[in-house]
Amino acid sequence: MSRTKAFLFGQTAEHQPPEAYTYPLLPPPQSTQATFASHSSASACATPNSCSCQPPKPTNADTQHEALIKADLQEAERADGISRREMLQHLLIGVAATAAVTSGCSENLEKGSLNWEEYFKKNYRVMTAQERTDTVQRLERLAQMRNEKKPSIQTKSAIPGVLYGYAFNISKCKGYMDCVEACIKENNLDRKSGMQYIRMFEIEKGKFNVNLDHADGTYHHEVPAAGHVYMGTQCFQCENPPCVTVCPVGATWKEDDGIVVIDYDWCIGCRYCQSACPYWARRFNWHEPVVPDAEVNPIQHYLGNRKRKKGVMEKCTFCIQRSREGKLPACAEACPTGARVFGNLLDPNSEIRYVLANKKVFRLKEDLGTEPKFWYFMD
Amino acid sequence: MTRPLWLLALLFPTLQACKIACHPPGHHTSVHDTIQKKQQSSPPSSRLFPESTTQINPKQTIPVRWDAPSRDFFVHKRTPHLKRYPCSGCHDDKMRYDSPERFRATHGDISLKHAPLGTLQCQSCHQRKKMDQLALPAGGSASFDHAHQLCASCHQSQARDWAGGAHGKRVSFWYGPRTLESCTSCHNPHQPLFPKKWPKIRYRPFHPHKARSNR
Ligand code: SF4
Ligand code: SF4
Repeated sequence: MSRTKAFLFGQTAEHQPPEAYTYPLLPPPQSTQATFASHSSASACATPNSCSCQPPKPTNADTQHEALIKADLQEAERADGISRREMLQHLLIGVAATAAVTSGCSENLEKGSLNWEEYFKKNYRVMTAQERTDTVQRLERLAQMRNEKKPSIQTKSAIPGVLYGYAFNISKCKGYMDCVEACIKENNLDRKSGMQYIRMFEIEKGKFNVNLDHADGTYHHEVPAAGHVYMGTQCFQCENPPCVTVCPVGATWKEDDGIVVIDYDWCIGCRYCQSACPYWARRFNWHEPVVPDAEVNPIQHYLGNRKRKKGVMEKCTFCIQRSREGKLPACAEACPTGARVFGNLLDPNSEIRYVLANKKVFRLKEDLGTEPKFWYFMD
Repeated sequence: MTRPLWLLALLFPTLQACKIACHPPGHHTSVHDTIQKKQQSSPPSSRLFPESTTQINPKQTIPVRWDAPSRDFFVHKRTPHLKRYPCSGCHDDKMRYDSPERFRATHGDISLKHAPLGTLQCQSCHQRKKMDQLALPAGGSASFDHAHQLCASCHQSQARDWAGGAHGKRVSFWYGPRTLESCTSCHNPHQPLFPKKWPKIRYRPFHPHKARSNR
């Protein structure tokens, strides 16, 4: 029980002996059928129809698009159902300990047991190093079995002495959106719904306010347009992240280097965090993300750009798989104007500290007390 | 079978209440405080990563001394990327301007849109005699790799921000030997203003003032 408490109280794995931990919600084997059934019915409710952002009067093209998405969702569901049923069959075989397994279905059996272990693994924060290695191996093997490009998933922890910060130069940004494209590619974002972590806004000079009331997030014309400024938003990795406070299951938390991350396998998809975030930073997967295999970025992090599932939340992580290797995030590297400054807030000689010390900086909606680690500045 | 579930259902709100009691939502840490606290507890180590993984190929960079040795950094070399460098390949003695036709045939892709019309000519920045060097307005010369010396003679505030970190950008890494893009890696010196172009992608329209939630 102490492990459970420790987990709910938001402590990290280091504070308690991992062996003593047993996951209290683990259902006994008899009830698996029910669990799976309720799980899939829950995801069946999550069709895009319930989304509040649907335009009130869909155009013809919209309806077609919707129909396509629906068809796809159904298909995905059917596929899901089959694989779960298969898995259950194999599990039953396993539980009954029937030794007579033909060699032909040994791969299916392996898949079943891998899926089973994946389904009941722990929250990433309370996993031991060994358990982390194990789940990474399982995920890589499962990807291989699905004939996907083999990912290499890291589990690198926060580096002591590092706190990431970001600054955005409004007078330099020209609205080219090279950053958006780089982010989509780097983070394996869903191509079907056109998901993007970064949003670019065009704002008429003199019409800026912190709620971005007059910001145009729909522009598509040659940029920069005269008399306009451009600015981007993404997850600001708040120091007091409201998204973390509201999560009922502890699936999202702030790491020691200040990055707010999500355990995609622990998230239940309730979307509380999405409505809690004042900066429109979180994205929900209405369907299994679609990324053409050739475009998949195989260098991944467990808390970053690894393959997401249907029905879970995701967001910008300052490219955790890159920043923890000393690299700039993909957006900062792609920006052709140098509007994006990234660095270590704890290093007094870093660029980000120079900006904070020498420029007039501001943050969005500062009165909320979320303390974003993302500043805007002007020359 | 049903008992543990009932227990859990009761336990869950209780544990949530405990969580909120110990970490009240209003509990506030400012980034400033966090920086102060963390800097004391774990001062940034100078060796977070092996240098070999975060260093740009030294052959492609040259060191720059700005105001103090402690702020030394590197810039990306420009000469390997210049189309017609070295200039002495053609201009064996000095810069000359014979006819518009010849200029068009050799440097026709250059049109000078830098500063008000007529302020600058070729020789404002290029040496007339030692053609492989740039001419500094105060006299003397600078190599093409050190173009920032020339740029800085007019654009002082930009140069200061560039050396500090608020203008321009680092190459690839936030960590490791500080390597910056040279002025002319991003700006075309003949037309330093960034061009107009179409955004890289067409993206999902988003209306912040209408959004209750988001996707
Ligand atoms: S910007 Fe939003 S998602 Fe990111 S940490 Fe802050 S509240 Fe959470
Ligand atoms: S959607 Fe996932 S991460 Fe967000 S609050 Fe719900 S469980 Fe937590």
